[in-house]
Amino acid sequence: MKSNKEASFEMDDMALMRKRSAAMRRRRTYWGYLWILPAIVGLLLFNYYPPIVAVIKSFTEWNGVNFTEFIWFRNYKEILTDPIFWKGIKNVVILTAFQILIGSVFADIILAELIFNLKSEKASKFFRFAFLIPVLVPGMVGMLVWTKIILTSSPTGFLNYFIGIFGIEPRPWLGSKDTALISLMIMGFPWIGGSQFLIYLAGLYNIPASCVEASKLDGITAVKRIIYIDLPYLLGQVKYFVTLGFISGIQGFGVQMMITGGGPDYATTVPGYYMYNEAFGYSNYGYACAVGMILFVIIFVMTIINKVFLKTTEDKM
Amino acid sequence: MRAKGELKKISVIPQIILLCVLAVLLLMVFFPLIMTLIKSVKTPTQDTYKPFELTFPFCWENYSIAWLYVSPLISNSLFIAIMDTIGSLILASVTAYGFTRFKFPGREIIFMAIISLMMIPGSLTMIPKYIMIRDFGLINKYFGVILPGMIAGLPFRLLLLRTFFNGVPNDLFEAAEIDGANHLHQFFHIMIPMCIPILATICMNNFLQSWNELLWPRLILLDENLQTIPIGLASFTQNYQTITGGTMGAPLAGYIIVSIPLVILFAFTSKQFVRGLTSGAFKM
Repeated sequence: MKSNKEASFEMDDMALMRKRSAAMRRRRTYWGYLWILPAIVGLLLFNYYPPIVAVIKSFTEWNGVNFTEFIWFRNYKEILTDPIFWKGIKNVVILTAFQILIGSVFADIILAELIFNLKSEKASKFFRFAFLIPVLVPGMVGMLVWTKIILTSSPTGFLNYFIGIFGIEPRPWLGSKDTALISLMIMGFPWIGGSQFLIYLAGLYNIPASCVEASKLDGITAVKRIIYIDLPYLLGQVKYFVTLGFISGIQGFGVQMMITGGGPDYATTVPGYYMYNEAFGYSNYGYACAVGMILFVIIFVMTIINKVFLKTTEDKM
Repeated sequence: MRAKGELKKISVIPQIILLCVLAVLLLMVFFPLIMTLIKSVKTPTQDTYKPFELTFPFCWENYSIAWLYVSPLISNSLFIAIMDTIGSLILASVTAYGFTRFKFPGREIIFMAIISLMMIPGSLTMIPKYIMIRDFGLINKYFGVILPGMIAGLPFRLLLLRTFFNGVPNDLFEAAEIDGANHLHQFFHIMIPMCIPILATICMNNFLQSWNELLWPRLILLDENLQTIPIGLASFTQNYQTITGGTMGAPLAGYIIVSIPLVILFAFTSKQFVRGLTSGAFKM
């Protein structure tokens, strides 16, 4: 034990030191600007300037080099009356809804539940690692393998071979406008794996044991337990994936750019690809900026609706 | 964790069913890759007559052809992903340090202004950004892909990092200040070591994102010698199929080869990887 005197001396000392360091901090406080300066410069250049230009240029006819003419709302009018744009909207809504509901909510929660209910620690660890490995394979490899081996239109494509077993005629899959969109959805079957299920799994492990105990005593079935106990606990993660999946899904066009080209006959086109094509295919940069603006408005409105809607559901709970 | 003692009483049969379901799912997930592996060692004749089963002898020639095409792609992709990741981490952590350890006028307003950038989708900025990069003369320069990548994700990384940096106890810095450590010293010897887990998470996500990026490498790296894995694979597949009349052996071997680097990396960092991905940072 320290004597009182010693302790009070120490206190004085500490107070002095605090004061000194506080003074030191105050003196150096403007150095903060220097620390954030590189980021500010970069952001002004690459994150603030481009959207402003995009808004302005969306009201012009612009070839990206030397010709700009203000035509006000003509771009928007043309886009909103273009059936291909609306076809793209329809496609992207279908694809995104499917990706979110099946891909990032349903399939991965099922997988997390399956692994969570494993008793053997070893097995659980094995499956956690095994289902993660697909993340490491470049996404492009997945796309190419699906298009070149499984969804090939020739009878030697795997899916055609597989349905052939049941006596179904081979189909052209991505090659026909009737089946192209469905083929894009089939890609990645069974839509699990990656890192999302791990985040759900972490959520499941966070459920208080008392909750689970109580449910067991009541003798409810596994399905009921998942719906009434596990899902409410995973709501945060679900919200996160739905929001993120919506934002990236609605403007995504990777498959279209690399594989389908939006075809055949615009069957797989999406607004993002429509924009990409207008800009880099036809040099209609002003028009493409207007498409970008429309996407921005859609995302903005949906994000706000999402925020308001999810808040009210939270209040009810 | 669910109570283990109680569960033990239940018979083992449900557990076995569970294991079987998981095994089948795993097989389905890996099926395309297994198929690729099997088909990558086939000659065109073997592929025509027995497309889905193992055929002997293996045609390793596919791999040597593919290696010629994909090895430059791998080094290009590695270079871009590593530079992008290192640059992003340094920029984001330096900025986050500025926002946590200094109390300068307008700090919160500037921070909010940066965070609100997350509301602006990439599709809106894409075209002016491309024009700007083009006008800077960065077409066919790695820097033209790395620089915008470093900055585009900055608001999100900054938000994550600032939260974690705020969690580091202030006493540590005060003690260091009394010892005469300057901010640079505090940054490298206190802040960075204290925040390794979140930095590792950002590092991993950033690397994967850069590794899989399609748009910017495609728009900016037009020269075939500079192409990254995703872009180069697509053109390799197309060219090879055109030349050989539709055979896939070598491209498939290429797919297998380009998948290996990250698997090796994963073998060394799997623990950190899983921890990073499951840390609470990724939920709302």
